[in-house]
Amino acid sequence: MKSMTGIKLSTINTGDELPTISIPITLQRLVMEAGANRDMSLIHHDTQVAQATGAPDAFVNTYFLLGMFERLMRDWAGPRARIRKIGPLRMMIFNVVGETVYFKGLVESVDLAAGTVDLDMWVESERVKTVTAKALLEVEN
Amino acid sequence: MHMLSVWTCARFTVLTPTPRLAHWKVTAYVRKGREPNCGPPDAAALVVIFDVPAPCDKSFATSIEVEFFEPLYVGDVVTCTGKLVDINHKELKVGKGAFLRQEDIYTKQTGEVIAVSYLDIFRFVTPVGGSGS
Repeated sequence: MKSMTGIKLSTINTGDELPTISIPITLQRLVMEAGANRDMSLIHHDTQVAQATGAPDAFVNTYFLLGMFERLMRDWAGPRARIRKIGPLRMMIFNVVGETVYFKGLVESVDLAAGTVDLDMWVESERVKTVTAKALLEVEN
Repeated sequence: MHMLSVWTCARFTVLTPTPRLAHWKVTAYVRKGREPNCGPPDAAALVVIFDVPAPCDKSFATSIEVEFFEPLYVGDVVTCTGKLVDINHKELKVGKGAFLRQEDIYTKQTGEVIAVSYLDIFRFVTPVGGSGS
């Protein structure tokens, strides 16, 4: 159950799924993102440089993933939830231009006494799971 | 283990989204009354890992872990101290290099620790005649 300020701890159960977010990776999106987060490394917006590192094309950076995981959590838990920890976040496969990626997650455990929720999150491309991440969220009762 | 560099960021005017914290330590590209920073596009001081002298011309991040302790409020001044804490030499399919781990500690003007993060980046050299693929 989600109120105006967000989800309540007492309504969360182990196994609950977070609403999936899908996002197409385009070169334009990566350029805009580099301008916003100041990570101008060429591997994130130049195909040739990215391919020289072994990637099929320019790929999203760490901060894009962190930002999208925050959106995944906030869309579900609301603005009053407090992110205590993100990680380990492991990037196993590049998320590259031309793909649509899906941010997904589920509740791993709920600690009513501590007021926290452990989340298991990941990114899927149309091919395979590309990124995994854990998170600890503080949620109001 | 040694300290490589320290940044102090500008005064906040709005509350930052949680993962956005890392970007406030990066030097601004444009500042009032100064010439824009038009150096190489990959020269942004995002991570001290690239300050480590090494014969590596390529890299990519492999993992990150961030723990947040204190929220930021309007008017807070944040200092970030970056430190290289581990080097693990490896040879992967893409080339020979090393995993480098950086610890960033963010504090506010009161001395309170806001967040601690660990970032791992693999820096490597592409084999002669290879494209890294």
